[in-house]
Amino acid sequence: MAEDGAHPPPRHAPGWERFEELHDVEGLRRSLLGCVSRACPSWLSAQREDIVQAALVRILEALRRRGESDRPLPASYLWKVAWNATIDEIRRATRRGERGLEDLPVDPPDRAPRADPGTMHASAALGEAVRECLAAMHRPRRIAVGLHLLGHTVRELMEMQGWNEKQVRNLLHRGLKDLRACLRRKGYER
Amino acid sequence: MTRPDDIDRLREALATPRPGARPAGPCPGDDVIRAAARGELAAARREAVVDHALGCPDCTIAWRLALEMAREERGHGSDATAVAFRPADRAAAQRRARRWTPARVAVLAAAASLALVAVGLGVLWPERPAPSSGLRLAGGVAIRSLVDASRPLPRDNAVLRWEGPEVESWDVFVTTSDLTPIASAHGLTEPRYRVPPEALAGLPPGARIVWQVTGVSVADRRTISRTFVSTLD
Repeated sequence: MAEDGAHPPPRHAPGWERFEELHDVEGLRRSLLGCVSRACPSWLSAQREDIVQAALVRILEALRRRGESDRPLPASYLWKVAWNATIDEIRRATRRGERGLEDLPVDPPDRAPRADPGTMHASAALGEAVRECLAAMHRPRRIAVGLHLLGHTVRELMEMQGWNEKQVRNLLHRGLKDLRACLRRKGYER
Repeated sequence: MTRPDDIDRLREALATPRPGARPAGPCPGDDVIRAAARGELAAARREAVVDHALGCPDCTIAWRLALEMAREERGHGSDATAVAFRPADRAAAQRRARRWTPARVAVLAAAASLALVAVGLGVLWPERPAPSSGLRLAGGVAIRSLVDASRPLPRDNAVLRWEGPEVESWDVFVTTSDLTPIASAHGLTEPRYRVPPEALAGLPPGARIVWQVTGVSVADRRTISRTFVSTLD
């Protein structure tokens, strides 16, 4: 849950019961948790449940503001609302993570895990190196590798870019080879 | 660097912000990122968003979330009542329909056996990331700080102590609270490390230091502690 207590537990939110009557909230929670877990980096892992919980409340709030909390709605519309709510909550969690190291209390012995600065520092440096390598890459390869690093599969690349499978695999193979060589030149070995 | 587990590492790296770094140019709106990730923008515009997202950890995460949600939405159908948002009575009907029956159990058991064989042969999920090489990431619980949190560390004798599993050696990484590295040590044989006083000399009274320990055992298996924070006198 948000550290500032801005989000009450969902079951106490006004209109929550009606929301549960109309929609499979547990299914939604599971879906969102899966999405957040797969999309977020490990340094946000401790906050995934909180992000989803807060996003659920925001979804309900958004529907209530629009007078839409008491009727079933098209799935595509609800996914859109869920997207807005969830990305907002991820950003809140990210901001807390970024400023958190300034605000950290001295350790109590058994507090919950949080982002590790050593790991984050090394990961951020690797990210910078990857960006530099991508920037120097032949454009089609950069787009192919970039979309792959953003999570797209070969099939999705084919559909999105209008490439055939051979083209996609070729661009990825060559692009990742370029990336590997570039990172090696920067001192990153496997 | 580009095996499946390495791809995961690269994805993680692109989503990790560097303190103080800012992306080049303003971020696209959320709706634009979502549309781009869903393949709903024209190629030129989409590729411009890709270029930005790859340089911006915040937008990288947004893109990946939009993609995951699009898959979820697509996977459950794009009709007016997709599964995740289906009305509760329809959800209950679907749950009833999925109740276990002997025939269903037999079919699923056969399918599971086949899947195990297929996985063993590497047929299924060829792109599925492999687990990383024995590295325990953030949140490892096996290592505990033994520094007394109720008393500030004397900067002329700031000794970090901890306890953890049996390992060959320890590595320690110490930063200021804004993640500036100030000291590190590798191959320690005892679970303790005295931060060099000169590394702390420039820090103000009451400054916090952030430290992390990695236990290295045989076969180079690593156990990483969570982050510890201590206050200097």
